[in-house]
Amino acid sequence: MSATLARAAGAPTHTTPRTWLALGIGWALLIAVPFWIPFVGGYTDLASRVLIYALAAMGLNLLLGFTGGLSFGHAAYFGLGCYGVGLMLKYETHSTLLALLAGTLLGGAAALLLGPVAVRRRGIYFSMITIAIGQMFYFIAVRWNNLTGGEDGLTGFRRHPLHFPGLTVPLGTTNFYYFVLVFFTLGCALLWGVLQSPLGHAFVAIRENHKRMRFLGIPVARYIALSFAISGLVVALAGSLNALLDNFTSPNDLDYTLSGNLLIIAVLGGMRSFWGPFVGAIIFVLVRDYVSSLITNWMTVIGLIFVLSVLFFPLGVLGFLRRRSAQ
Amino acid sequence: MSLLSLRHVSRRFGALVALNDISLDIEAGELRALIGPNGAGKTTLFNLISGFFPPSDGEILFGGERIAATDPVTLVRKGIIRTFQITEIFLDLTVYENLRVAVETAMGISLRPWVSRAVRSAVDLRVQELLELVRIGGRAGRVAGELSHGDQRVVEVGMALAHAPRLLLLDEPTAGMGDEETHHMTNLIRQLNRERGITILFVEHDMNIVFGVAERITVLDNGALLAEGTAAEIAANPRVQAAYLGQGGAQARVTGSHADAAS
Ligand SMILES: Nc1ncnc2c1ncn2[C@@H]1O[C@H](COP(=O)(O)OP(=O)(O)OP(=O)(O)O)[C@@H](O)[C@H]1O
Ligand SMILES: [Mg+2]
Repeated sequence: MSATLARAAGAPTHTTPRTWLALGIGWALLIAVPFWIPFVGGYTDLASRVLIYALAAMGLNLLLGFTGGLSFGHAAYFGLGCYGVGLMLKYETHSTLLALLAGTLLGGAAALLLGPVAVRRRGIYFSMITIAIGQMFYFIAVRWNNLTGGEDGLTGFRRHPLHFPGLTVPLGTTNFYYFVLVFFTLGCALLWGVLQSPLGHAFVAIRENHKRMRFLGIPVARYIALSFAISGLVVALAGSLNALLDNFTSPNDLDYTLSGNLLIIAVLGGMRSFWGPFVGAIIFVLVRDYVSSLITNWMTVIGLIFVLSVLFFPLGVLGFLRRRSAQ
Repeated sequence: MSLLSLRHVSRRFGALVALNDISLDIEAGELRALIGPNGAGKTTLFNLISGFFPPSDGEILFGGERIAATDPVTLVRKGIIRTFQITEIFLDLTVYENLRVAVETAMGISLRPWVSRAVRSAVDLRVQELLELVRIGGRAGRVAGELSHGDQRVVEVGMALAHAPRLLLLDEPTAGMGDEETHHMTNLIRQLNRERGITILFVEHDMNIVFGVAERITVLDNGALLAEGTAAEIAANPRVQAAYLGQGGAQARVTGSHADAAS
């Protein structure tokens, strides 16, 4: 198994020309989405959703795949992003960017404050605390009816055109897709940058061996809390974008079902690889969109795919493809 | 003042007394072997000194400062670095990446989400030095989990050395090594002590190494301090021979290996 994780020989981990080429092609494809997606039977909003879920799962994966922390409660930060955006646009501002910033910071701040609570325990207890914390926000959203709209969700807000000096950009479907793509790219750049830095090296080392890190002088719990916060921030950014996509949010965006789905996306695509959750998001969103138009119980199909993938591609779909191409 | 002093230190696990009333001093610059039969309490002593768990009784002084029950993170900052009897490294990472993390922790930059090119190359330089020092440069790109146990131990020692320890604790550094690897490791231990002045306390079962390398030797038996002295004194100590080295051939073995080491 570790053979598949082997890096190219030679010391520092370089980004190879092949990686750059793949990145370039990938980005070109993403930029061209509005042009080609109708020909494959899709629609642009579906692509926005893929990017949003991919960003959320990649954010979660900083903690899950690269720090070794299994959180069942990251929907909380996604949902806080959603409600942050919705409430800002409904009551405070007409600036889409400001609302996005507020939603992202709200979710990020919550993760920053709550990470240290969760990391006081390890393993399964850590996971259980993350669920409990997550569900707390769910119940707040359901109960605080007059602010959040309760079970029915929050309506009465919509994204507004972007105003720059001398320029107004309407956010129709296509423009909004590019808006999402920009923030998706920023989120990826943040995660990538962190993983290339000493902090990211420390996260991965903690995943590998807590004990060794402690005896290298690293206060492990504090670092996991930091990974939790950065991860929560990125997930909150994704949630904020999601609320702008739908012009709506509901307690479902805070529910642990969503936390579970994000985990499924990450594991399905491959939690050891940076882009794995992106692949997982494509599969997840497409299957959900397609199957839910045929049968109501689309989750069963996702579940089945998930179980099969864990059985046959333990490194995720992307991990599997990488291994095959390496042989 | 000694670099490390244990004063009447005991450690119990329930009814089991793993260490009983141990007092010992290690001077700065010493190269000390800790020996004793299986279960004597050697690793437990390391665990107390390195803060893995606190003593049940007694006090530990490091550089005159009381450190009993101090957490490992603080002790690493004070300069106490250890390796483990069962190697603790990052198995899914390459040798290079293992050492890089260690170097970054030692440089105190692990919290940084961004570093300049200059810092990056300083890290790289330090990693290259360590690769060379412990002679594992040829395997820098290999995933640690695929290496032999001996090489994995070398990686762990390299990680410890990233920190420029004031006190280096090595728990059976040559376990699982072939002859040549053992030879390198013992040379490295000597070199670190002589050329860099690092104080080293190491646990070792192989008497050739113990008597060939250590200046002074501490013998534990069944949780108690049995003897302490120079290699010659320990070799000649009848209590050590009886309790630890076994009857008969011990003396011959000891003197034989001592002669070996001197040659
Ligand atoms: N965490 C622990 N909990 C309970 N008992 C322990 C613990 N650690 C050590 N012991 C016991 O303490 C005694 C001393 O163990 P220790 O590991 O220190 O021996 P050692 O001298 O290192 O032996 P070896 O040469 O086999 O490594 C043993 O009886 C062991 O079972
Ligand atoms: Mg031991």
